[in-house]
Amino acid sequence: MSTEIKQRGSLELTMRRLISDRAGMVSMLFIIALVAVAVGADAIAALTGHSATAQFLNTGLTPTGLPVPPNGEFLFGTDQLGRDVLVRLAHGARISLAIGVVASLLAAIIGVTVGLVAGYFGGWIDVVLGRLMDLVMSIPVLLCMLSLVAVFGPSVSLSLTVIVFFSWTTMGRVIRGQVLSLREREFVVASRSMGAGHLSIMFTDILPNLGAPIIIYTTMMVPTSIIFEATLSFLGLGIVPPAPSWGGMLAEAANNSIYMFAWWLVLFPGLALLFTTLSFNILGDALRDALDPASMRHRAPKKKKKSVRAAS
Amino acid sequence: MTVLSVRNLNIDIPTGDGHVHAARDVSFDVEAGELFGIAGESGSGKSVLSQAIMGLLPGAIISGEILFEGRNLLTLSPKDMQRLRGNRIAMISQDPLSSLHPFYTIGAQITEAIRTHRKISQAEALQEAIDILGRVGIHDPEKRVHDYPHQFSGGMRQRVMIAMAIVLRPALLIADEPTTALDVTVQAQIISLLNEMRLELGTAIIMVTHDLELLSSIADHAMVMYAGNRMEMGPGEAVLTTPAHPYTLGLLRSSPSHESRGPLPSIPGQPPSLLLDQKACAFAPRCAAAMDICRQERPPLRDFVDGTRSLCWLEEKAANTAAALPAAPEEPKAIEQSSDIVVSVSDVRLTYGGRSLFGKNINLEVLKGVSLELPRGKTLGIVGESGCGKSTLARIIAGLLPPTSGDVTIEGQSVIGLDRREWIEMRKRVQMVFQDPFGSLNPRRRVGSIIGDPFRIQNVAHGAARKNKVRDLMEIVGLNPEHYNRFPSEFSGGQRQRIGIARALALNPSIIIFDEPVSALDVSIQAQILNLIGRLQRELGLSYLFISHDLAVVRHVSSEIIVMKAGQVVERGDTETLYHQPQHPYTRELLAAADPDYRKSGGGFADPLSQGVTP
Repeated sequence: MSTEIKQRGSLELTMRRLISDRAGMVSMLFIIALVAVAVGADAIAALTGHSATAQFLNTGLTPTGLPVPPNGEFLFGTDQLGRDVLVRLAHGARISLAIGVVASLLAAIIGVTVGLVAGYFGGWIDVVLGRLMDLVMSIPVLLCMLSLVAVFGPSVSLSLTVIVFFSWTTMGRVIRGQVLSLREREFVVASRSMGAGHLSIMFTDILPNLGAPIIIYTTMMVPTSIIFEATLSFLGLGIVPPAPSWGGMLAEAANNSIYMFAWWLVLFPGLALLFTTLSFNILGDALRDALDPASMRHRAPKKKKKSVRAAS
Repeated sequence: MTVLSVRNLNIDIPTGDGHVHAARDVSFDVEAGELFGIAGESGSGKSVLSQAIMGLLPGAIISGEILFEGRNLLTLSPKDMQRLRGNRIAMISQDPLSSLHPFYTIGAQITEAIRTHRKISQAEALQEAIDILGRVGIHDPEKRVHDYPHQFSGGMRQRVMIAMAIVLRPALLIADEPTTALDVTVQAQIISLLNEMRLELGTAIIMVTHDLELLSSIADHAMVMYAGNRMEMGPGEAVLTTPAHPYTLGLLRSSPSHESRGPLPSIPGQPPSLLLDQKACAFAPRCAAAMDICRQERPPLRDFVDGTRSLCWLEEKAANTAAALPAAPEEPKAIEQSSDIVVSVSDVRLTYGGRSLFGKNINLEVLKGVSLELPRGKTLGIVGESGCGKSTLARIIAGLLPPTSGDVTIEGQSVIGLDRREWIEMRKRVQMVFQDPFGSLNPRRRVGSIIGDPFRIQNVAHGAARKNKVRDLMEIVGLNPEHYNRFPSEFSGGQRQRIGIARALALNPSIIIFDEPVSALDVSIQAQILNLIGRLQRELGLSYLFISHDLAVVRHVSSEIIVMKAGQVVERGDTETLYHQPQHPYTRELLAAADPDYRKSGGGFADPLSQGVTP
């Protein structure tokens, strides 16, 4: 055994903690698989020979005009118009992920900027921005969306805007709180005593220390945005049919209570939505445990495992 | 009778980096009514040891025996252990503020402790609580028992903690750094109180501390720990006067409490990582008397006639071995220079507050008219207890905080009301070194960019030139320039303080303000930093403002001292005059409290400070 102890960098320690979190790893694998499906949605369509919007009146519908259950040709069955549920699900994943990720990133950028400015400068700036966040949080989301759609008509960009507008406040509040405590730290005073300006302190001293909360809360915002988008589509306010989206598929299943007969129309989009949001939430938790071990609830270490890492 | 007997205790704590070997083969006995001291620097395993005795280390792998009144605590069921804790073994922790529940009155907390272990009525328990509070020196205990923790001052809170710990007459009391968080004058009172209680109740006390001198002046037996090893153990007096282990000797010699001036004999290097397996003597790499065998084999246990035992290859006591003395670095010649005044502070006042919600004027005067002058190339020490306004004064002088009234001039230029450009210029003249070596460095930036920050901000030296300057600075303060790309978390406390000093030096300032630069450091590291500070002053002709609560440290570095109390200067004068002929009663009290001989006599104060409620 060598006596040299290698000091592990914080990145390596974080990765080790992350990898040792089994639920987090399963979630991550699921998300990777989902991304693969979304990216390869066209490939799936090509393999099955069914495009997302094509109707198969002969094979996809029973002689009485009802959707067919899962079989060899349609793995997840077909919907009431004879379209392949699997292919539509894959294309829907694209929309869900794209909107979830893009909306979270945009919301994170806005939230971080507002939180940083409010927390760093304090005073009346903080008051104004704080009340602005309160104001946004107090607007009834669906009501606002309904009226917007009534005026502009449903579209992807409108969904995105609404989701971003209503989700940046959480991030803004978290960041503001962190900045409030960070700006009192001595390294900020030290920077100031060397003549650093406000921008320099905000970007070189404070922002790098916000890495963990930014990563964690952005990850946690993804499932919220996906659910949000699905809700909007379910209400017919989001993605315009016939383009597939998970919320829209659920809405179609609910039409005329067709799900009473065709259970696969609810089960597969529902499960996709459930597992996606669950995975992002569990991954967010795992990231928090890994990035900020102090917040981790106490776990009794396994005493059996006594393998000494001799190699290090 | 032996109350506690620890036999061959090994403690391993699993962490993300591997197993931390916090105690290795430690044995000791504590007799009834004895004060047993455990001393060591941070990371020596002394606190882990006390937690192991209390059974508060759930994840650790512990082998050996801890026999308390004949029972092995390590094999006891959690339920039995719970019955012992608080009842037969009690603990006082370092921070009395966080160990008392802010939501309940102290009476409720003490009676809860009593009634957990004894079946008595609430009224009886309250009566006992009042009795014990009176005994630990709380005035008017019948009334104060219904007060909340925040209504007590720090020293009073620690008295309440002691009351809570001894109310059930435990056989053993573990005090983990009981006075570290307190002011000097209060420290002395708490120590003498602990001593009184032990004599009165016959409770054995294990006192864990980093302050070796405090310990050996009151402890019957003392144990010195280093990197999880018991280096030396023996009668308190013997360990202090004729230490057997070179480490103990080094610790004693490096504390600046002697009459000495100039460089301190410091222990070189850093304590080893506790993750390493130890095959040889853990102290060998830092030991002045290390021989070849020290680096190859584990040292034997040596017994001396006065009852001292030492884990060392030296056959004689280290105190009697010439080679074991840590060497004091040579003192270079100081630069001759004119003694004009570089910092002048006149009648600075600072008031916080304004109007409260109900229109009352609530003004908090932090500084009540402070004036001082600092001649070039000299060090002015500022001493005072926490809350006296000394750190606020430092920030005002550095220009980081505008005073309510008064003026500060640095090299003839006022630091108040400067425009942005002048202010940036001023930064090149005055710099600060902060107290907390963990808080004052941005954890997310590399050391090279932290030290290079002043260059970046002031826009001087770019690219390779800046990198070279940073490397030079690292060399000047005794850091390895190879560590340019490391993060602050990869350095120890002392090294971080060196980084802070290098950063302050970067712009060639003429004045450096040190705000408690060594109070967060261990004694052996403190000596290294003090030596560095002294050397830089002589080599670069710097002027220092040195702020500290520790009189010994201030005395060692300063040529002139001012004593502050409650926002005012109560006394100022030449260091030696101030020490030998203190004029103000407060100065006398500070001096008395910091004197180990004074503590030993166990005397109280004629008119104890901080008896009252904090405002």
